[in-house]
Amino acid sequence: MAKAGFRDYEADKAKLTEFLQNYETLDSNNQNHAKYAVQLAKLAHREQVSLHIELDDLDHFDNSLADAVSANCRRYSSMIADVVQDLLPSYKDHEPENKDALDVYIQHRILAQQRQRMIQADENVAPTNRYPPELMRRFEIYFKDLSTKKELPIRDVKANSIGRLISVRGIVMRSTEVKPMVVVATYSCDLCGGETYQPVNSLTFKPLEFCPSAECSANKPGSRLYLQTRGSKFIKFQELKIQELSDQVPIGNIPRSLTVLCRGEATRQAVPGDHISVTGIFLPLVRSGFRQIQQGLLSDTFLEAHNIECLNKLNEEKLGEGELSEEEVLELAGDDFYTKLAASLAPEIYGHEDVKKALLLLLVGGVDRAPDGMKIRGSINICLMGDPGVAKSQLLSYIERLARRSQYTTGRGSSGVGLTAAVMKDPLTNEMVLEGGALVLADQGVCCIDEFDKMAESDRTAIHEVMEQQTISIAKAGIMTRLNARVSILAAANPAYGRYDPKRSIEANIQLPAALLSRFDLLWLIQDKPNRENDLKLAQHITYVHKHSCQPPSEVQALDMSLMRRYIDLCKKKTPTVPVELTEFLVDSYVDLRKDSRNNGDTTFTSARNLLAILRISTALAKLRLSDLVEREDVVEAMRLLEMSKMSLMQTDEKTGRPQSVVDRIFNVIRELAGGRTVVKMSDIREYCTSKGFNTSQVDDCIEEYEMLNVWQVNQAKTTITFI
Amino acid sequence: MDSWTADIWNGNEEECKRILNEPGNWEKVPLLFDDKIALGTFVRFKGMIQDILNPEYYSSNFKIINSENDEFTLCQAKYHSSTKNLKPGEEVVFGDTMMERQVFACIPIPGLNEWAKDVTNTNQNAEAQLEENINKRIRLDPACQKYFKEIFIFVYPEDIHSDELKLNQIIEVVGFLDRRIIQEDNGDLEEQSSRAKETHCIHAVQLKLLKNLIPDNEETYKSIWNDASNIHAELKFVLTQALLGDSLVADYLLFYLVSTIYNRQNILVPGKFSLNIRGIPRGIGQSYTKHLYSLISYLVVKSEYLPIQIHTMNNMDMIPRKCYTSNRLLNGFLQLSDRTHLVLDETDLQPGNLDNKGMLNLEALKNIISDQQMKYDFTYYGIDYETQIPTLTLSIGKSLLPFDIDIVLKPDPSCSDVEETMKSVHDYLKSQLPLLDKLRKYIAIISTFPFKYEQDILKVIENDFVKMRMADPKNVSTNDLHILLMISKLIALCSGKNEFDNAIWESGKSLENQRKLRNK
Repeated sequence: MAKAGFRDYEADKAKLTEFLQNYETLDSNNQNHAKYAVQLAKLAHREQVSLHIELDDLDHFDNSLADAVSANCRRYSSMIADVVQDLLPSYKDHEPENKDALDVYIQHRILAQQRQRMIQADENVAPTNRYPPELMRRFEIYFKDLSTKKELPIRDVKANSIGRLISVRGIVMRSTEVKPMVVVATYSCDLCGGETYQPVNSLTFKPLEFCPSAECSANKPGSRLYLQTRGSKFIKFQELKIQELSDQVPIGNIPRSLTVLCRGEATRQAVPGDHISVTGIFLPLVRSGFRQIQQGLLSDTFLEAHNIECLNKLNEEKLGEGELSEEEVLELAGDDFYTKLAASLAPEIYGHEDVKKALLLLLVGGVDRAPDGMKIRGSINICLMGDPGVAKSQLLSYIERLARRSQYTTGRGSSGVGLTAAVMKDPLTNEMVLEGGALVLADQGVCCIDEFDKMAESDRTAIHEVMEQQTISIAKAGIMTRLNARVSILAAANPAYGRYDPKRSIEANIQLPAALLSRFDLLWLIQDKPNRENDLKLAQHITYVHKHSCQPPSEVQALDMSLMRRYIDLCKKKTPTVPVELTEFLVDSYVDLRKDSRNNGDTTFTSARNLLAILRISTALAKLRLSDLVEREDVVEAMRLLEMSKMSLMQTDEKTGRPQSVVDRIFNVIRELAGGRTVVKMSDIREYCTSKGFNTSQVDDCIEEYEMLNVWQVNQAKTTITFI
Repeated sequence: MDSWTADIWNGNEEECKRILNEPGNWEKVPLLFDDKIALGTFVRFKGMIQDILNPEYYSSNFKIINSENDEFTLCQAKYHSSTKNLKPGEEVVFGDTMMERQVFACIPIPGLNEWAKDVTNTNQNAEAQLEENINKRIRLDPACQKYFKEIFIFVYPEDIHSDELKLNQIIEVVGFLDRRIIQEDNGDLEEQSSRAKETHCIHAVQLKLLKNLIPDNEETYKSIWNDASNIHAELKFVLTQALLGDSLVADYLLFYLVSTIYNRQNILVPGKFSLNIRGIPRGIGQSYTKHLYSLISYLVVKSEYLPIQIHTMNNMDMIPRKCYTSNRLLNGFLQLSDRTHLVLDETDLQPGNLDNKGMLNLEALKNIISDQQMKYDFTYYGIDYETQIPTLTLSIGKSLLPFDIDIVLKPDPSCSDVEETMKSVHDYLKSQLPLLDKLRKYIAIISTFPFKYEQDILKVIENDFVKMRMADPKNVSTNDLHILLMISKLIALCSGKNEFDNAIWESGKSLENQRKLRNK
């Protein structure tokens, strides 16, 4: 504790008086505004009960004083109360209305005091017969901590915080009812009739027995004191127990808890289960008499609440880990940040770059639109399919951990509530209550559904609605309602015949109706195929893990989960729009897509929903770039992802299908692009091929190879090719 | 040391520390047996950290003032739970300086096997003698070696770095025995005093973290390492017998017993060896699995047996849960310290319905088996705790629970009488006590020896894997490479080699091939 003893309290008192009277800030209209003086007037007229003093203001006024207050808060709190008490009469311009019995009492007492002074200027009145200042007060003083000060984890509240103003964050575990607590007990003597006052500072007190007035104590006639409830002052009181949030607990430790005592206006601010942020003074609990002896040397501590903020009522940002710092933005920036972010998803799962990219976009999401009352969802739905043991579930559980709001469930549903909602009977009240299932709980977040194919029939119908309308309608046990379920669905499904059979359609393979499958923006088949190059990399990865007990240093360092979360939060705030000049390009792409699927006897389904999917994915990409406009590259990348996802489904077994080299496939694509023309622009080729899922080096190889075969010629500047 | 008290320690801290740390002296501190030991005695205690409570604040010193003659004595409050009994006319004045101490609730080590309790007793003669002096009763009854109730350990951050202490760790402390009054917090501040409960506590002056319960001296380690291949052969022989003549399964069971987790990366936990032995002959089900477990418990330091049945799953408290009325973490069956071998017996599972609790219990088991992680229930949220509980599932058909490695048991037709076979294994071990002692130490420490990977052999492995994938892509996955690497490492360590070579890699592959062939 800071040695507060060195401070000149009288000087501080004078300074505080000046501060309260004269401190001015700019209000919303840029006018000077005597912030506290205005409030003092309100206090004087009983229009306001609590006075919140912001340490920011005090710091601005005199920074050493603010430090002193924060270090020895209890003392300054009562000092300010005295100051305010002294100041109030000067702010009073009319007699306030008496609101309750206590006001009447106070008024009477003041009158009585004045009368007494006139009769005798007697200094011999026993101190307990004087009015304690607490009795005459109808206001409460609270501090608001510096906005620059960080909230302490409960774990770091230690002995050196005693007496200080601190802020902590936690979850409320228990709360007592709000009870009246006596602040000043008033007694009247049955013999001399005088009133005696006893200020109470601790949680328990020993009632006075004998009248301390000069008259009674001199004569000792055995007078008795009676407690006057109407004359005593009570204050609202509530005790809370808060506990550390799960992310503040170091690995292998038990969450710590803290007792918070709330008085007056600080009561009734939170109920169990709430996330709150509390500012208060950390104090030892004073026990007296027998309890102290019994308790031995220990001292309980508590936080005297000054300001309680309920975080779940506010927007989610406050719950987050805060804004990105300058260095973090730098760390994220760079040309390859898209790849980098995607690679940081589940770094322990090797490969699957495109799947990870898609999952990243799912986390960011598109933009919700509601033109003319029609609702078009922005959230992206992805279904991962694949042979058993290809890390589908791991990807799901990683996304569940990364997303701020998420639910993980299996299609079979492990709880009785299931996916949608259930009507339950409350065992206490016998009332019917609606309990939300995974889809409802994941509102505004991600719902990961493993074993999607094994979903119950009733859930399957509900999910149709969720995936397009983003609501759930419930008609159960007389309750008819519609709940919001604005979720992105990430599903994982196993093929029906143990392994994916490329000769059958997807519907047959997953045994889900086309109507449901088409609601997924991207369907991905993750297959485990031998590939020399990949397998070798994979083997190196695994041996490295076994050898070194750490992740191999990949080209991109995996980003921290909390950093990812904050970046995604930032992305979510953007609502990019599609510029008019891009719409044509989009429409053309879609028309090509339709044409392709007709020509190739596609096993997948191409519908208008694909166009929406492209839109959603490209807006998500724009959001990821923190841009307000969707660009051509975004659409091309969206097309590429869609194409890749389709290709993953069409991959044929190499043994059965006629192998077609990449170069051949690219050639076909270029020929298709050319149509009847003989001259084709190189940039068009690049773009078109990328949207078909080929990379530039492959395209270059193809062009070179076919140039050698004299199929076409490339001009000098390498900007066009001409078919021969 | 016998006469040490907290005040003596406070006065001569340096000297006391020096004496305590002289070789052999630590072991001389008497173990805490029961609550008959006088308060204030210098004692030793071994246990598992079951719960970590909120830290406490105490005044670092206090004065006892005698109101009759106005004399006062200044007392140190460190290592004390309460002030001394006051004489009439004396009064206590507390100092202003508040100090902090950590409170750990410790329980006797769960799953600790009988023989391991004996080891700590008989192996150290000096200690046994000392115990004799203190309490005759203990010698008569080896089981009462342990203090059965929970005990609070006070740790002073200025003496002991308490940040390293985690839940479920096994610690050994020396300190002063005292008692402490706990307030049963029932929400009402006024009623608290009526529910005071008294328990014992130890004010720790020094603390050790115990990794395994084998005496930690170089001599033992060296002799085990040098003799590794012999002990390996002996152990395999015993296990083959116990597995009714199946030497392949014996290899895997041996790996299960010795395995340790040597790395951890989110969901990737190299070294984890969750084994499923299936194909336990139907007729001999329960009695055989119980015999097998009793053999395992005879070999490993800590183990637990859990029959997977509808009834146990629905009714057992497996998941530790925070109780906010008592403000304590309630112990669950699965709150186990590292390397407690958990044997799950599925052979007696009958069809039935699991209720909500049963599902949660099953989920917790699955989590431990596949990720070595467990979520403790804190009502408003769950917190993941890393576990290291090697699991062995015994089942007739394919197991309900996940596994890393499964293998079918093929009993030798000549081993028809299970009872007889198992009894002979037990008798064999009992007749060769020095061997048994070696086997136990071997199991406890062999996989903790350092191991080297040469880049050359890793290259061979990598290329081999690519070839294997080419040959049979459907049946070779990344998971297989993990298992192969792990098994090869265990093969090497088990026979006392601390690096890879071609022969080991080949034998690892052939072992896996045999297993796969059999499982088909």
